[in-house]
Amino acid sequence: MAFCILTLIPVLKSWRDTKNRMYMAVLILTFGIIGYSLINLFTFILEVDTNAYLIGGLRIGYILGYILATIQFEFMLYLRRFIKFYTLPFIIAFYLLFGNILVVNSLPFIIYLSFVGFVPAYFLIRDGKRKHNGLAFGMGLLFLIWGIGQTIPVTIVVEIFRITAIIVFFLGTRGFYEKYLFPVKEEEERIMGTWISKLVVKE
Amino acid sequence: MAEDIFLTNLRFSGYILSAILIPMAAIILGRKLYKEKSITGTYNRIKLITFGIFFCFATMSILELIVEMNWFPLLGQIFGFNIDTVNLYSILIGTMVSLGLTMVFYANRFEVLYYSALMFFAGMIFFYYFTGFDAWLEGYIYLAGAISLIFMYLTSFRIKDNGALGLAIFFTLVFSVLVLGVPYITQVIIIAYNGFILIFSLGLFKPFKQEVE
Repeated sequence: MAFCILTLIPVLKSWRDTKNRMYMAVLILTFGIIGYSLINLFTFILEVDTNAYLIGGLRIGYILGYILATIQFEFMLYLRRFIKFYTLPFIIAFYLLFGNILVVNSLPFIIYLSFVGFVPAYFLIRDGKRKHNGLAFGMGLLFLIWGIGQTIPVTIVVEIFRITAIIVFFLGTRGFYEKYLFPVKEEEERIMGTWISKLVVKE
Repeated sequence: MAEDIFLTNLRFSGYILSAILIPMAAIILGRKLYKEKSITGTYNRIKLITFGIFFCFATMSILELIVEMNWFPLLGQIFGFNIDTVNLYSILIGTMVSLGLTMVFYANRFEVLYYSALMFFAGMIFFYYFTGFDAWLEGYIYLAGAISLIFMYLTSFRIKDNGALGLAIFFTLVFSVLVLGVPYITQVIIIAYNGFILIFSLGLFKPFKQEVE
């Protein structure tokens, strides 16, 4: 949560300067993760068992998972400007939630969360790498690492993965990847040119 | 006895008329849509949705006749003839009312909701196949049908559109058959909406002399 708050500041600044919808989407997602972490924190403090069944096969953990998945899915739709599909994440979450009440089966929950986690991760990492956009790349890594963490049923490992994911995302908002992973081509050529020219002069 | 024969004949006349006139109306609409597409290069969304509704209705009318005549007994089991559970009949009716809502959203430019009704209905079908739960299907059909009809009337009067008003009247008649279920009245209404669709398809229904562009 602390990293999320730290992430908010540069993103908020960038959004204020550019009014780019990507920053807006990142803001919404970050608020979503903060909200999710807050609920998690409260359930931990109040010693609420998130694995306890509420009605039928519905668990508190499922509700939290669906909230986060809806935010993630909505984020992707917003980014890709699929305005006509904005209600889709809510419809899917509604049916899956209702399905969990009727049927005690966690498979639809796992499949949906994997889909919402890994598919956007692939597109974000690919696009981020292609367009040298560190923020998108960081977001992709966030989804990927967070998603992998969710598949491991050991609480401490899940938490480590989550923290790593947020740190990786935080680095993306700070321009870390642009600087160290995708250096600007002209800059690279300039350095190369100087190096070659130095060699030529020496010869 | 004579009353029964009259009722049966009336019912069959209704089914035969529907199986002929509704597909004809769908073909006329489809041709108009295609012609417009070849001129402008794009489909008019409202007309495309209207065609979708008529296509579903035409399919339903043909299947109704086949089932009533008992040409393919197996089809009767799949078709169903009721909307309280998921079957071919309720899927077609549900698609029609969902398309009706989609048309309302398009006409009022609620872009976020364009595909919502269709996605919600598709979700309902999938949900049934995975859980066997279909208790909300009937309610959804009635509710979506009523909402789309009300908004269709409102939209038609607001934009003074003959087409929209014609469709609204036509679907009010169709919807009343679904709601009423009283033998004589429903048969008369079936014949009435067939007569109306004939007038509408021929372009003779023009209550608004000057339409708003």
